[in-house]
Amino acid sequence: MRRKKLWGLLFLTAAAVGMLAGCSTKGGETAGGAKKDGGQQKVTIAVWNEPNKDEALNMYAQAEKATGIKVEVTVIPESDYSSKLNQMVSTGDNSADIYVIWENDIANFAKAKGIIPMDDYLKNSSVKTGDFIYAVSALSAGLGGTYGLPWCAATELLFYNKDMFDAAGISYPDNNWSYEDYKSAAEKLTQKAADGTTKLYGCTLPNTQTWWAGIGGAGDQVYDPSKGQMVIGDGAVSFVSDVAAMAKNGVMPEPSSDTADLFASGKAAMSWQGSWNIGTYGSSLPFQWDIATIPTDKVKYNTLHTGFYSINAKSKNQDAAFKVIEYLMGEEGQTINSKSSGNPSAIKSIAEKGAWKVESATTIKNWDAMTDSLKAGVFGYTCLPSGVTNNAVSEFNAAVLGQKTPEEAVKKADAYARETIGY
Amino acid sequence: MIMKKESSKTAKKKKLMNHLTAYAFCAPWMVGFVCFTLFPIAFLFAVSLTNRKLSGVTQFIGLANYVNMFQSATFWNSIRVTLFFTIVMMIVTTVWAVVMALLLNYRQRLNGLFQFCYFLPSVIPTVALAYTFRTIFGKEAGLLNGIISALTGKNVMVNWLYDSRTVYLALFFITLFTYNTGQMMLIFRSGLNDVPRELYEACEIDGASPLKKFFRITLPMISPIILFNAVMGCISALNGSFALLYPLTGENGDPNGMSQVLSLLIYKEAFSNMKVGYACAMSVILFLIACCFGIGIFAISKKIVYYEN
Amino acid sequence: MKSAKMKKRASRILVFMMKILVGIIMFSPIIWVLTGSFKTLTEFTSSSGIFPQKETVENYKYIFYHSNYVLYVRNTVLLMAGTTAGTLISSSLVAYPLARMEFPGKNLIFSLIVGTMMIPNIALIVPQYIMFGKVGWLDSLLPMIVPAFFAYPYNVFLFRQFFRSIPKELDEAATMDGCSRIGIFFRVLIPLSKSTFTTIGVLSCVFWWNELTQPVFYINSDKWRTLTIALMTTFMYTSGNAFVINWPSIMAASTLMILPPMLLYLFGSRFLVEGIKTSGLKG
Repeated sequence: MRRKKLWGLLFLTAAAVGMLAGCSTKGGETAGGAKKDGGQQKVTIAVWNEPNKDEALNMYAQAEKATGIKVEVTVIPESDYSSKLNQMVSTGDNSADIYVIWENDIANFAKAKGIIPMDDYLKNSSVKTGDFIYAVSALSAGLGGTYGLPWCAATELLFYNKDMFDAAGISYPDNNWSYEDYKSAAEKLTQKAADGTTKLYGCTLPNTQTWWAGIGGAGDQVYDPSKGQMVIGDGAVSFVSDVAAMAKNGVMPEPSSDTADLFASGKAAMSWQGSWNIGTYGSSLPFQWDIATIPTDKVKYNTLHTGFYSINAKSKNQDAAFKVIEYLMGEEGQTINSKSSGNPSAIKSIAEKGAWKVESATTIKNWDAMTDSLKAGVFGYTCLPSGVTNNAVSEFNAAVLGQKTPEEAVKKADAYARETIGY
Repeated sequence: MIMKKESSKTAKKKKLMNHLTAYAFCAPWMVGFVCFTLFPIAFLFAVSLTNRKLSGVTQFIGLANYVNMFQSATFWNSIRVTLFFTIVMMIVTTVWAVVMALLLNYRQRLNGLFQFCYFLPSVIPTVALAYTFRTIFGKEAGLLNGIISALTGKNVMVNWLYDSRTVYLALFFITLFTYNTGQMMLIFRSGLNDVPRELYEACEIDGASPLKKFFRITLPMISPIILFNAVMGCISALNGSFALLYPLTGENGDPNGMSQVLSLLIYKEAFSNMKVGYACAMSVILFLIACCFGIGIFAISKKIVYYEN
Repeated sequence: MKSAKMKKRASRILVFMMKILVGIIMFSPIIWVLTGSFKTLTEFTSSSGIFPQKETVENYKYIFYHSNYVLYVRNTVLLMAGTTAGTLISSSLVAYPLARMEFPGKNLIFSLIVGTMMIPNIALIVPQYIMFGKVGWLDSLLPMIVPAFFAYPYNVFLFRQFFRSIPKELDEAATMDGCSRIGIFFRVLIPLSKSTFTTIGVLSCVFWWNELTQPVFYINSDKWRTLTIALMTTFMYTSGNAFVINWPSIMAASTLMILPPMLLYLFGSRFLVEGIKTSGLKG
């Protein structure tokens, strides 16, 4: 009797689990097919950023209200966003209807027919496709159809702690600051303890994005659109050497395992970061801060960032997906996005209205830094596969730690890029 | 005569039935073996001869992947790191497990509490362990630097996981907390309990020191268990290093590729660079390395079987 | 004589001190995780003190109120239950003839099983990934649950060891009573090896609770994330800045993940500890 019970129990669990697992996937599939709970349509959108917690600033929640279509957000972290999206497209996954696609992937996805051209939809829509900033329309033009609509135009900026500049008696950075100005200021701002360890850093270490701003500023092309290749050389060597020297002198922190935002915690006076951090910081920093353009070395350079709203070719409710995109690309959607993230719209006439001047960031005076940066912004490293750029940054970090010379690091990064992109 | 024939026939039939029953019981494994092991192995070799990308685009390119791989410094570095990491991890964790088992088998008060403390880290999920140690070994506000600073009175700022001089020290220290170590500790404990008391008593009469007792009796008695578990540990190190190192040092095996074991490189090539064919060529090498370890185990386990009999 | 006693006592104290030291080393990460989960991000990244200066429960609040925590727990439990049920059923079935019956090819099958035990899963995961992609199982738990129903070599091996330890005379007696081969399995072996089933079940659950590698490869979207994946995705960047890891949030999620194994150890140590002891002892 008990044996039977035991076996019955085992089989029951097995069957239940099998059913659950089977049904859930099947459920997912059928939901992907019709996506109707109680007559309401549902659209799933894949992004890498958490939606804003304030509902008024959450464009997806607002899109849901405006269109009557349920909008669900799947967040995939930035570190493996590109990789996971590539997997989803290659397997014909239909769990997301809308992808926000990065610059380096859109051409591949279009070629692989993982996303659909939206030209037919756009004919009768209110999206101002003729009004995109130049770089975006140039990138789209190469695809032979409108496969994606830019969700914003972001850029890189110099964030600085006004209080520390005041304390050190140094004048604030402006948009004409040269790279030399920046380096000498960083040195002066650094404060050391008696035993030689740094208490206050002049500047934070470049992150995976702003390494490329420095390298481009030092005169390298970074990305060659005609060949799709990474182009780094003397500029990279000089910038990596500079960073290595600054880290050695304690002006910058070394790369370390417990990565932390030293600027936000008041342990670094300057930081090169993406413009979206204006929205993140808002009023949460316990000190006065402002922004400026990335200091100009040989050329004025920073990377333009965007993402493209695209419709999954496998999606069963593309019409609803476009409706949501239309809202997000419209004035209201773009304005909410700018307000919450601090990123200007890629549509010129909307950007001009200045919704991106984040209201909570009251200490910012130099809003021109954003417009100036956008003017200089070009698509750069973001068009390269993430494995290649991450590998390069890992090489640069090794040089900063003194494990190899900057020349070696740049050479190895370059060789790896050739080996990988040519595959 | 006829009767006999008849009975042998039924016996044969019965035997056949028995065999068929046995095969029926084995069927799940056979299906699984063909679908989830044999076919993937064949497929692995086939894909390694193509330039398959993650998107599925495929073209036969012969041995080009292997040629590129054997010319790549990244690959050779990774092979070195894999062998080094696997073997040293095996030695370090085994020794630590033996030490803990010996300590716990020394009958004293609070042994239950000690075993709890010694064993619990091994059931922490590896991801959690990796992130915990990223902060313990942190440079600016890490626990270890904090402790050393407090003890020495100086402001110590060692960049444990990024300094090429300390990174292996830190990594192998972390492996002491993995499931493998805890498992081995428990196994060695029961192994130690099985050592006959009389042997020790005989030795004590001779007036041998504890150290001598350990090397003369304990070690030889439990060495087969240690050996077997150590080599099994190699396999789980090959397999488990991904779960530990991916959250700990990332797919590039920072710093400077010093912790980039083959499994990390495979993941990076397949999913960050979308070079699935190339990643398969690397998997073939990993497979062959595992086979070498496997043959080693067979050689050893034969000895153990002999010992048991 | 007295000095010998003193010496013995001194060595006992020495051993006890060593035990305490090792205990502190081994247990410190757990303390660090626990106290870290109550710190703010700023404090966590700027001070190395063990105890928080100002406790906050924000990290836990985020996990319970703002993330799909229940979903992740459901996925993990589903994964654990599915794989464990699968492996218990299939592995015990396969182990039975290997332990109790004679048939041609037995040795070959057994060597193959031991052989596949030696192949690290990671070597075959890329072709398996492509395969499961073709069947359309990616981004679900199926690539992990389905193979469990086709016997894991290691568990077959364990079951075989246990079955072999049961006296064969019982089989013979059962055969005399008219039991068939199948009957012996269900009526003799299974009732006698209940503890074995629990042991292997517990070990399997612990393994899948902690498993990261396979979910990393197979799961893309939020709806199938397990707790381990959520730890390195959902709970990692909760500060809003994609480059700033929210350490205290990870620590809080880790604390919650450590709790079940800890309770298992405290209340089910019989299964966990004894299970591990018996599982790896013999070649």
